[in-house]
Amino acid sequence: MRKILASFAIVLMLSGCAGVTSITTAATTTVTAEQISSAKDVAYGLEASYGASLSAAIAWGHQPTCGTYKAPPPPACKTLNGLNAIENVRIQFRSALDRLNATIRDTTTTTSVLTAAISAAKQAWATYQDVAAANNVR
Amino acid sequence: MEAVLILLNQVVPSLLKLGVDVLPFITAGRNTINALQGGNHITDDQAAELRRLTESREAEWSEILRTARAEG
Repeated sequence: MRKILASFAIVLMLSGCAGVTSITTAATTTVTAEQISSAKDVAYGLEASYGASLSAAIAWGHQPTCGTYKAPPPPACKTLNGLNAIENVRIQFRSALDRLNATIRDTTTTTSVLTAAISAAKQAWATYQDVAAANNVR
Repeated sequence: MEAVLILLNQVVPSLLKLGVDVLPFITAGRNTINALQGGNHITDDQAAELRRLTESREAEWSEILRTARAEG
């Protein structure tokens, strides 16, 4: 009987340890205040870069359309296709940045979710820049 | 940080040549650099102010897009 009780106690102890381990693992994935602050800096930097780039897109958008030129059009002229292409990637970037900001505000955010949101926003920004550059918007 | 450096080194010089008003965003970029170098971070007020600026640019951009689409 003693042996059975002792075995039962060991099983209980091991179960308890396993429980503690899982709680510890969960705690390490919760973001720290420092990580949140760094993520805010990233979001702010992207917002600033996006704002400046959008200013360039607006200046480009005020240019005449390429089709209005009789002679070969200058590289800076705009096209409806170009405007639409930039709008598509702009919307994707805006969504990614909004998601990052929402993740930052979410008090239950984990490190992996925050890291993924930062990565997605940076990727969307890179895509936006590629499309803008391809349309001579710099 | 990476995005801000791109802004200050690549985007801004081109925009200044075009006479585009990017001063608020240059300031925002410098705020980020200063905050990072000083070991501080961007405040929520600074972030909200910058968001208001980009919202006004987004409205202007949407108007350009709407006009161009209407003209075909």
